[in-house]
Amino acid sequence: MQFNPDKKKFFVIIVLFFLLNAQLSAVGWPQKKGRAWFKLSTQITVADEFYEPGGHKVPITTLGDYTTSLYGEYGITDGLTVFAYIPFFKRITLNRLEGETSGMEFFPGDEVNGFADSDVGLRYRLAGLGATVISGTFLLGLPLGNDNQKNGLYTGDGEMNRMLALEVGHSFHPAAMFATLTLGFNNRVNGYSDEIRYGFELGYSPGARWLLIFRAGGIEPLRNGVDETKGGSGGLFANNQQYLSFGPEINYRITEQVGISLSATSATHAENVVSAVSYGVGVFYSY
Amino acid sequence: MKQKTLLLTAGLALIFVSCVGTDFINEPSPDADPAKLRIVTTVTAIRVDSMLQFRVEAVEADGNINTGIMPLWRSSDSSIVGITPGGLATGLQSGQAWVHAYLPGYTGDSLLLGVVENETVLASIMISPQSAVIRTGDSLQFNATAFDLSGNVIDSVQFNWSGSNGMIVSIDSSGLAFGKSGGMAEIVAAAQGVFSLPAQIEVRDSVRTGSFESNPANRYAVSGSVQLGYDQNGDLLLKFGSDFKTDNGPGVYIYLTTAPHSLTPDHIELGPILSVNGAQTYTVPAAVGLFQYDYVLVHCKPFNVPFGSARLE
Repeated sequence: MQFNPDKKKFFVIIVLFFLLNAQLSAVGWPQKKGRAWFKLSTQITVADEFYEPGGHKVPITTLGDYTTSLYGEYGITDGLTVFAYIPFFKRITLNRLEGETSGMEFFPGDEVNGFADSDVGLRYRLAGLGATVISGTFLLGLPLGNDNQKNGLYTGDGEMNRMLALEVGHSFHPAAMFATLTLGFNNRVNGYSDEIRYGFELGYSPGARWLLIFRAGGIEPLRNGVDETKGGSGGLFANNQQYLSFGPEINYRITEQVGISLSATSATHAENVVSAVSYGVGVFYSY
Repeated sequence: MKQKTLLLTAGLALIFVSCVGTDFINEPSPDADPAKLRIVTTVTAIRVDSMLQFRVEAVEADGNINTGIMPLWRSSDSSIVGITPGGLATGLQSGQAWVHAYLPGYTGDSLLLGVVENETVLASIMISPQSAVIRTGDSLQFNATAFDLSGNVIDSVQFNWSGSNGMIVSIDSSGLAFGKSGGMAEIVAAAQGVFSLPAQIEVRDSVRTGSFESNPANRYAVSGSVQLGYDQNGDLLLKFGSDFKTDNGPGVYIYLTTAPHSLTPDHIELGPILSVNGAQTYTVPAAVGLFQYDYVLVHCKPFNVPFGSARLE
């Protein structure tokens, strides 16, 4: 399919197409009225190390986390967008443990499959200052996953968190670049600590079909929760999780409406999270 | 376009069938037994002026038996038993002496050899049991039997019983031992100037205590006191003190192990932790003895992370 969009208009579309990230959305641009954007993706993380509460890596049983999700946005008005992140299939595997010399089975391994915690939210355009857009986001975390698995293979945290975030997006037009910043406060309940969430994105489009993004973001827990909260110090939905994640994302538009994306994310400055590179692959669609 | 879609679909499908693999634990290897000498001669007494060739074998560290080894020999009383460098013993006068076999790099062995004037006199004394374990407050009856040189039992012998440490175990004139406090001691029966081989007796306290310490390999915190002991029904119970506290985690279990901060192959799993703080009690399987395991381990089982352990004193 051939298309030859006007550069400026095209770049705005690019931003709308690509910068809407599900979990740490650092995007200041709401959708236009009646416009929608969807992304079907899978995130793969296989880890054999864990950042313990002191921030040091400790070896753990190899854990696999495979999350397939659907993310969607729809412009209710030009300034108000509704979005949802639905991880409709989460598969977690935990390896079997066997003694190297004795051959004794220490742990039989485990696996779970299921629906995971989801997010719904609204993004509202607060102000537009030339090439800069400021938006506010309200996100509601829906505890649709399972937070009661004997070996800690949780697909949810069992609490309905509420996050308020301020997002700033800036286009460097005529350069095919943009940057975004996000700062949010995530209010968590059921003994989990509240969190400060932050994000940064720098995007560059080297050609009509390509968009490269460097993304960084993280969580700083306020440590005002309860130590004994389910999930504990070592679970996948542990209390007081902290990290600074970063990594590239490559997006390629196959047609005007359909494209694919690949990403890799690592983390540092971390506590209570697994240590591994997380890989993402997805296909997106818009109208 | 169709090919790309198929490729993507296949990639996503892989996620749904990803398997549970196997990780291998580097287990702590048990300490190898040191090489040791073993006197294989079973004679316990000889006549004056007769000779006895001692034989020995070596049990190497790898468990192999070496019968060609040439140890050094020594007699505890060379006026009673003389012995040559080749292990040939001679009875010189009535009495008893220890014959020692030794060699650098090996744990030595000894045998108590009696020397008698004739066939009919008391030549050796055996007591049973030869080793025993009792708890403090418990009693154990020892029995002694006297033999002449031919191995015939000599009746109506009055034995004198003695113990090596009266603080640990006491023994009365009938051979009834009583455990007084934890430790090791030896019991000997004697009659007519002849002594038995000592029997080994271990007296164990009925309660062991310890304090939890965090695993220095990570920052998970575990603290508090723990006690392992028998209740009035004879059940072995592991009790955490009210000061116990541990970090939480998924699948935290309690184990008895033989090494600190480590899930040894011979571990016993007592079950998932009942609470991350405060007093709690676990019942230890009946087949487990009070002194079988020296450590209590708080361990994240599914993720194989030892949080901390307590050494039982």
